[in-house]
Amino acid sequence: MPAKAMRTSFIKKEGVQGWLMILPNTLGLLLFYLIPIGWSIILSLFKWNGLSKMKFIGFQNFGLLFSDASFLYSLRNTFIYSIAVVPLIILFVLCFGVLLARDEIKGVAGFRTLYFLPVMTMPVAAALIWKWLLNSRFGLVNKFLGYLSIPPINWLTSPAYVLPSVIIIGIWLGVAYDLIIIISGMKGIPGMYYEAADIDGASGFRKFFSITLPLLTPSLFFILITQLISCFQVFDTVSIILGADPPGSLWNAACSVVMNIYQNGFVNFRMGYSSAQSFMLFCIVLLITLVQFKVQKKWVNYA
Amino acid sequence: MHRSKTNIAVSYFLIILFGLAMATPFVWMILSSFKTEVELMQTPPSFLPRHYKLTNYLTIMQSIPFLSFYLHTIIITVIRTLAQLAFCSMAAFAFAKMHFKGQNIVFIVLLTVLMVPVQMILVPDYIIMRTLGLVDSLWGVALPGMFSAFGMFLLRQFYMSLPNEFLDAGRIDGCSYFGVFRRLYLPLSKSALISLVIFTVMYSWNDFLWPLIISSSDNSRVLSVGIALLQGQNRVYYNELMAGATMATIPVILIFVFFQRYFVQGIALSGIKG
Repeated sequence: MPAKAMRTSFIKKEGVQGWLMILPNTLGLLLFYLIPIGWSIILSLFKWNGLSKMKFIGFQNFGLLFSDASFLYSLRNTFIYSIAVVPLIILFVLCFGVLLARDEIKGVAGFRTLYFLPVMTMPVAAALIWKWLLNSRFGLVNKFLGYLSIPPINWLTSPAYVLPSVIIIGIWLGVAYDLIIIISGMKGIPGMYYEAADIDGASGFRKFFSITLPLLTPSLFFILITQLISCFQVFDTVSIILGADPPGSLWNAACSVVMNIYQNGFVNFRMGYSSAQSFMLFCIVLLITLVQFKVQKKWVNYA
Repeated sequence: MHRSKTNIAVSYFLIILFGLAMATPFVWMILSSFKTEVELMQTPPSFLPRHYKLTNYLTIMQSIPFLSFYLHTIIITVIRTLAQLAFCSMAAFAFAKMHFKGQNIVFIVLLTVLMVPVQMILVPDYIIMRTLGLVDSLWGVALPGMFSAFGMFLLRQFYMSLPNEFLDAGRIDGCSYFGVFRRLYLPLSKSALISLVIFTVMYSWNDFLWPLIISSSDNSRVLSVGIALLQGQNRVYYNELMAGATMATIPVILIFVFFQRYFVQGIALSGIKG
């Protein structure tokens, strides 16, 4: 067989073509994701500032985690943030969904756009907008609270309120995205269930709790998992809210784990320690996700 | 279904009330971008600006290299989107429709990327970029985001739902697998590809942590980082900051307006497939 024909028949083989087609994405994921993941785990056993010789210190970085006050604060803040944001998002999304999934309301599609506006906003920009809305002297939020005769709150400068501020921004950003998922889930519920319930004379509340809610559980489970994961990785908004201030009492009150990872790795150049923190975060997120997948069997209905 | 008039009226009231609450921050951003400093510092705050002038927009474009941040963001977003479209669709087709040794194990290994938080790769990727001499360059910012396990998985699920008959027909006509993919399957997957484009554009446009790490000067800064750095500077006022934020949001709004159907479908799709 001439060389050219041989090469052509080689290329025509399914295996060769298959490998060639997956090659670019596989190489990229390998080089920039998979190898770095393994590398990061190895790095967590070293002391390294990114330039000097790496020094093997075993599990010392991990031991340090439990005595590092700023890490423990960030862990606590991230837990509080996630435990506040996820349930509130689900609550809001259900309320809004019930209102917006009904096509018999005229112009409902137009109104939906109002609710989707946060999806279009860059998180960094969203945090900046809220920073002014929450400003204690010039902000709209305190003005509104004034109408309800609530005295002005130092949202961004008092340690008690800075984390709630970040939580408010997180909810605002998250609700819009999840609302899209919930509305499509609600519209996917066959109308005949509701018609049957109407014949039986069921009330609106009864229909919501007996039909809508059970049939939405797969969508709710998806929102729960994805929101928990993204809440544990919160960074953009926290970094803008805390951005201009040096580490201090406000930081302890609102700094997130990823913020801490960034600070250690790329401001203090403790790259080994930073890697240990990110590995810890990975383990926590993985554990929570696995538990959710186990628990879902008890409450999620798959048709 | 019959609903009483009061029920409908209450629904309208609540929809508008909550809708205004959700929309206020966004509207506030646009309104503030037209206000003067005096109006901004007014107590109690005024809602509408007195004049709609572009002064703040011009100031912000002059005080920082805003246009070059804009250009960087566009270039990086385009590179990432085109790369993901090409690489993910090819890989997705091969995993969904072809059979070759080792494909299952490679697929599963690649999917583990989906489970690992992006923070884990920051330090190693930074070192890789430093070794390649790509720190503070547009390629350095763009590279990791050009490959995606999520996009590959999304498209693979879509190709799985398409019939195998085209493949057989194309093969009998002497097409290579790549030819069958390019001529038959790729055009059929337009809606899934548009979903991927929307996801990639949104992710890339809003991306903050990685560009913050890899950019060290205005040579490679993107909008998110540029705007974030602005707020630390005392000479930049909030109304100018809001002008910057508004400009940064315009492209995403345009995408939403033009692709609203796909936009909503794509997000809904990710929820159903998840």
